[in-house]
Amino acid sequence: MFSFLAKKLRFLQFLKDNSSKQTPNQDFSSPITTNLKTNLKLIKKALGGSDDIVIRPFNLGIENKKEAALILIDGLIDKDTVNEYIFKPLMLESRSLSENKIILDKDIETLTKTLVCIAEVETVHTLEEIIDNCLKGDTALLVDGLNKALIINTRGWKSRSIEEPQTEVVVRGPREGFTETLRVNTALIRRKIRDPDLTFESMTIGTRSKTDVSIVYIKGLVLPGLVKEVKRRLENINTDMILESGYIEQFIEDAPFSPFSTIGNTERPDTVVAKLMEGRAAILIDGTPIVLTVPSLFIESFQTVEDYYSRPYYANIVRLLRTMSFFISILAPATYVALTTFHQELIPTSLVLSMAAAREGIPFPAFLEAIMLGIAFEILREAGIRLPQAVGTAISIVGALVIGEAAVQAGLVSAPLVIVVGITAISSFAVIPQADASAVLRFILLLLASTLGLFGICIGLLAILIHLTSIKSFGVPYLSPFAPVRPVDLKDSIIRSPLWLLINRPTSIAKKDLQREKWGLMPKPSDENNDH
Amino acid sequence: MHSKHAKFIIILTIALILTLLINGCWSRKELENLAIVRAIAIDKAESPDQIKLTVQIMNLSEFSKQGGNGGSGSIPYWNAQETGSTFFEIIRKFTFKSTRRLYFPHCEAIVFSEEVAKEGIDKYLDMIIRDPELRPEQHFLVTKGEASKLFESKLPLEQSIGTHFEKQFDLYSVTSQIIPFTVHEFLERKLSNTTAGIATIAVVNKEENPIIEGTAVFKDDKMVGELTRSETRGLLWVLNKVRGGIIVVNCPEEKGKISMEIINTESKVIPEIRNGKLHITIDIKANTNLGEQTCLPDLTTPQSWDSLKKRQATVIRNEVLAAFSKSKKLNADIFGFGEAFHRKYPALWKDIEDKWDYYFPQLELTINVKTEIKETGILLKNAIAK
Repeated sequence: MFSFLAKKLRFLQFLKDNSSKQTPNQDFSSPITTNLKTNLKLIKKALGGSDDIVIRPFNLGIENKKEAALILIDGLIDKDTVNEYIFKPLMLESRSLSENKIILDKDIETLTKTLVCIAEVETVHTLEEIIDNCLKGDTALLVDGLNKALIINTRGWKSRSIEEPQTEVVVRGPREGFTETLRVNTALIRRKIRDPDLTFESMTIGTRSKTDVSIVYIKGLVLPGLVKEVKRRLENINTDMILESGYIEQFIEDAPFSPFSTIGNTERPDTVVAKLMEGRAAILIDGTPIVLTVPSLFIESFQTVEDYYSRPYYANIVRLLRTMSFFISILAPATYVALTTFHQELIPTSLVLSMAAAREGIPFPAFLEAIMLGIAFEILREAGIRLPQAVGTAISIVGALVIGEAAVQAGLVSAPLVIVVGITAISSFAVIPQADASAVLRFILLLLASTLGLFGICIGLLAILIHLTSIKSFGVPYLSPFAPVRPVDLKDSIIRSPLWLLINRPTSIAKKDLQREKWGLMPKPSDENNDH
Repeated sequence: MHSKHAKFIIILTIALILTLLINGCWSRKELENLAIVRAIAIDKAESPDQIKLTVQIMNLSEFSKQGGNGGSGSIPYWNAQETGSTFFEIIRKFTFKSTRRLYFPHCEAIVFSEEVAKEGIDKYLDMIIRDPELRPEQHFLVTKGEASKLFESKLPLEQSIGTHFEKQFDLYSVTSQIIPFTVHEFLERKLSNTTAGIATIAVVNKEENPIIEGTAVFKDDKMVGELTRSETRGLLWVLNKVRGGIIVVNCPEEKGKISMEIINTESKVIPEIRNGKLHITIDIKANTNLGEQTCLPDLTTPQSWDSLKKRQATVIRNEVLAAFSKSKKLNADIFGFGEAFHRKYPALWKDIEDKWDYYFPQLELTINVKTEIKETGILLKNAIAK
C-alpha cells in the first residue's frame, strides 16, 4: 500500500515537472501598422468577436479628413466620459482645428495636447498593449497612417459603493470598508495617510485573469527585505487566474499545512493603515474587498482596531475575554469528554452527581455524543451562512429546538454537553480570525481526549505549542512577542497599555523609525485650569 | 515534496492514528456506569474474622428525578452491604449485587463502629491508603452501635450522608466544638510514636438524625475513650484551631448570662524543662465580641469590662484543663506535646520517647490566657435597659 502511494506521488511529481508555463496561445506583440483597416482586423480577430467589444470608426476633420477608430469595451467604460470628452471634441471640434491644419502630421500626441480632454493618456506601440488596456476599461484611439495608438483612461464600471464592512463591525470607528475596485481601495488608504512615503507598487497576476495586485507599504517604516520578499513570492505565482485574495494567500503563505493562517486579512481601511504604520505591508487585490497584511502574528487574532478606539479598561477586558474564548473553543468539548470518561475524580462531587444524573439513560458514550453534537453544530452553521437571511433564522430555530431541546428531552444527548457545545460555538465566534483553526483543533483534541484523557489533551496542546513556535510569517516568528520574548512589545499584546504609553512600534515587526510618539503624553490639566 | 519524505510522513501518520485507535480507550469509564460511593461504614460481622462493609451509593435515576433538589420523599441513595474477610475482596464482591462498578473518589466519609475501633483499625488503613481510588482526604468518623445504622438515619436537608458530613464539617468554625478529621490527619498522627489519634464521633439521636457528639481518642490504633464537645474545644485551643464559637459567662453582679463570640485566636505551646521536670506552657490569645447579655447593667464600664475578660479567660482555661485531665486519664497525648519536646530537645527526646507513657501523666501545665473584648454589636447597653 505504501509503495502504491509512493508511486502515485512520483507520478504527480512527473506531471509537475512536465507542465510548462502557460501562456496565451496567440502572439500579438507585433507593432501597430500604419494601415488602420489591418489594425482593426487584427484586433477584432484577437478579441474573438465578442459583442461587448465596440469598434467605432469615424472621421477626423472635414477637409483633411482622416479615418480613425475608437476601441472600447461596453460596460467597462464610462459612457458619458467617452461621448462628452472624446467623441465630441474629436468629431465636432476637430473641424475647426482642421482649418488651422494643426491636425495630424506624423504625431498622435498632438491630439492629446489639443482635443482629448482627459487627464490620463498614454501612447502605445503594440497591438497587445491596446488589447490589454481595453480589457482594463480604457479606450484606444487609432488613426489611419500612424503606427501608434492613444490609450485614454475611461474606466468606469458599475461597482458597489463604499459600505460598512459586514464582517468586522465596530461600534465606535469609521463605517467605511473596502470595495471590489482596486483604485477605490487605494484611495481609501491614501486618504488616511497623507504621507509621500506611502507607496503602491502594482503588478499583474494571472496569465488569463490579469488581476491587478498592489503592494502597499510606507517607505520609511517597512523593512526593504519584506517588500522584496513579498514581490518575489507574488512573482512566483504562475496561475491562470486570481479570483480573490484567498488565492494569493494560499500561494504565498509560509506554512501551507498549518491550521493557522500566517497572513492576516481585513476589510477595514483603518486596520490596514494601522498595520502599515507598524511597518507591515499590505496586498490589495482587484475584485475583492479583502486586503491581505503581512507579516501576521498569532496575537493579532485577538486584537481588533476598536481596542484602540475605546478606553483601555474595557478594551483590556475584551482582549482577555477573546484569549479565554479561544482556549474554550478548542478545549471545552475535549475537556468535558476527558473528565467524564477518565477523570471523574477531578470533578467536584455535586457537579459529578448532576452530570451523572443527566447522563442517566443516554445511549451513546460521551465521545460519540460530543462528536455528533459538534458535527450538528457545524452543519447548522454552514446551512445558516449559505441560506438567505429569512430562511437562515428558520434554520437556527430548528437547530435550537431540535438539537437543544428535543434531543435532551428524548434522552439522546445529555443537557451538560449541549451547554458545553453551545459555549464552544459562541466562543469560537469571539475570535473570528482563528475560527477555522479552532474548528480543526477542536476535533483533533476531542479525539485525543477520548482515547488518552487529559494526558491526550496535554500532548495535543504541546504539539500545537511546538508547531506555533516553529512557524514564521515573512521572517517574523509567529508567536512573537511571546516566543521569542520581546518585553517592549508585551505592552500591546494580551493587554493594551494606554495610547500615551505605546511609545514604540512593535519591535518584532518594525526595525526603522521605532519611536512613534514622544514621552510624557499623559494628559493632565494645567494648574490654571484647576482653579475654576 | 520529495517522495522519500512523503513516504515517511504517511507511515508516521498511519502509525500515530493506529496507536490512538489500538489502545481502545483503555481505562475509559462512562459516568453512567459508575456507582458513586458517598460513604463507607465498617462493622463487625457475626463470625469473628469477617468484616461487614456498608457503602452508600447515589441512585442517579432517583437523583435526576428530584432534579438535584431532594424532598420528593424517595431516597436518592442505596445502602449496599457485604461481608468478607478483606476490605478489597468485599469491594469486588459488590458487583454480585450492583450493576455498576463502585467508584470511590467521591467518598466523603469512612465510619468505623465503636466495636471495630476498640479492637484496632490498623488492618483497614492499608487498603485505604494503598488504593488510588480511596482518598486519604475523606472524613474519619466513629459511631456508637452499628455504623450502618448511621447510613439509614434521616437526613433533614441533604441527599446523602456524605454530603451531610461534608457540609457539617465546613461549619466547624461556628462552634469549634467538633473536629473535621480526615484519614490523612489520622495517619499523620500515627507517624509520630507518641501523639494519639482522634476521630469525630457521630451518633444517631432519638429523632433518627445523625448528630456529632464529640471526639474519639485512640491509643495506638485502638479507641480508648472520648472527649465531650466542650473538651473538644479545649483540645482545639491547644492545637490553635479555634476559629469561632460562643463563650458563655455569668453576669458580674446579677443573675443572667453573657455570650461572647470568639473572633480570632492564637495559641502557642512552649515546652520547657523546669527543675528537671517536663513542663508545658500554653499561651492563648483570644479576641471576642459581646454578643448577647441577659442582665441589665451597663457592661461597658472599665470595671465590668475587665471582669468579663477575666471570666471568659477562666472559661477557656477550664476547657483546656478538662481536655488535658481527660487525656492524662487515658494516657493519650492528643495534643502532640511529645512532638513539641521532640522538636525542642531532639537529643533528650531519644531517652524520653520510649517512656512517654510514663512521663506524659506527670507533665506540668501552665495556661496563660489573654483575652480582649473588641465590640459590643450595634448596642452598648442591654436592649431593654433604660
